[in-house]
Amino acid sequence: MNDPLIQIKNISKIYPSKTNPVVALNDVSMTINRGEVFGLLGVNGAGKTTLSSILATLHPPTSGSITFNGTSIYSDLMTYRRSLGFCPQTQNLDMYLTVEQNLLFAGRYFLMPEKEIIERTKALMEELELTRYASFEVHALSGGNKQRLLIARALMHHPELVILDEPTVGLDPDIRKKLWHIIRGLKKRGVTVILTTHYLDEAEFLSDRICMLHRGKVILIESVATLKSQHHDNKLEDIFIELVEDEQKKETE
Amino acid sequence: MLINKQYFYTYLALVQRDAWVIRQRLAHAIINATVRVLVNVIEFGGLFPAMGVPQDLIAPLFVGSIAMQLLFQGMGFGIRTLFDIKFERFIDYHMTLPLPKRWLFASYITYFCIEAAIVTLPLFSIGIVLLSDSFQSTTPNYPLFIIIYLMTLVFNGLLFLGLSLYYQFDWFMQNLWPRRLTFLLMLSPLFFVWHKAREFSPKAALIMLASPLTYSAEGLRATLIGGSEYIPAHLCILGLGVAILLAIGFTARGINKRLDPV
Repeated sequence: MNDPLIQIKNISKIYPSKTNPVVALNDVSMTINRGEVFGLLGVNGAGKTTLSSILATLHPPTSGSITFNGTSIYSDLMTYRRSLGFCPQTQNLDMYLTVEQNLLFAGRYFLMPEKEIIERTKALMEELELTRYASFEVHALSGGNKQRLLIARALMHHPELVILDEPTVGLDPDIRKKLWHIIRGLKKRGVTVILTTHYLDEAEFLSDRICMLHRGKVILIESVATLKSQHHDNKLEDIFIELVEDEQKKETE
Repeated sequence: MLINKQYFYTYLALVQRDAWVIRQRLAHAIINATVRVLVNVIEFGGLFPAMGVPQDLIAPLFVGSIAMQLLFQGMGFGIRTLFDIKFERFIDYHMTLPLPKRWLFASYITYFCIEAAIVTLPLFSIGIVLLSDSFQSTTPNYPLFIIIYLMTLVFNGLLFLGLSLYYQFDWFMQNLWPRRLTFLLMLSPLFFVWHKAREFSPKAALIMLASPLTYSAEGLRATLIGGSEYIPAHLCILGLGVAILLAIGFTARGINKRLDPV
């Protein structure tokens, strides 16, 4: 039974410019269900990061509405932000603090009780294999460990919804796989995950449903299983290429 | 209730983090402050009188130099913010915290104020003690001094936060100093007294009233040194108040222009 957590209706985002305004999102609508991993796919410039930034409340849409549990996210922005964990593409950790301090302060920003902050920090560091780096400053961490810390920081306040924007970009294959298991673990805990990626194997492995974006428009929303059965069990990569080529043909006609 | 308790505690957590970072850099801050105090004292207490600068000008020049130090501190704060926006994007994390924008940016200004105070307060206190000969006949008004000092800190923080948000990285790094700050510095009585400038050129003195640094320098002089040689403190408070309001507007424009926030 589908239980909508987020409903996006007719979202558009236009970046104004005197000469050439950029339409990053064009009338995008979708529903994201509670507890699912929802993959946002698309080539560079498709609008994935713009959509995830809007959902993370970094930027407002130019038009359209977004509801969370049936209420507009903008009518009670702070409650929505308390339910949200965001891992942006840029590893924007606090470079002046250690790994442990990054998590401790994240808990304080969300006004968690101090005892819970300490317990949660310890638990997340163990779960994400960061305990041995607890006293390390962020700049001393590898890219993979920074990414783990970013995920840990986003999970610190027990969010209902986590947005992961290209979480495995530039990482070694073994670290990617480890992060995949972490993301799967989130789903097991009942966390809803919006996963932005352009790695199709990643989307196929992790997502319950995927949304393909192309030049700011939704071209498909479907479960991975249905999509594969519709396309003779082809790999998601082949289906994706086929769909993008179809869109490009439509544009040239 | 005027202040939302949750916002206030989140703001406090941000300030607590900033205080931690400042504490980590405290050793450097102390060394920097010591160097500044010593250089200023040697220059104003030794070199200037030796070059024939009248004794009664040493105190106002010294206080004016502190107003300039605050401007340099602001520049450092602006560059740090600019780097974050351009490269690190830690600001994006802050922007997704359950905290309204005004509280978030108030925490940025608080950070600047604490950091700048650590650098400049030793200049005021130890510097004045070491230059006691020049400050012998002063009639300081400490409550008004604290008000003007705090207003100067807030103004500089707002100004440089606004500049770092309003201008692109390259423009800021290449053009800000010659095209903006030069005017602000040169049209302010940091190295002379405003009334003296008015005696020589009333028009130039009038133009200087458009610079907020005039009210900082003269206000600090009026409250630390006293007497009728300077623009009265209450007028400086008024001037700085207007400058702060304008800086708030400018910073808000910069925030909307650069960050496109919700």
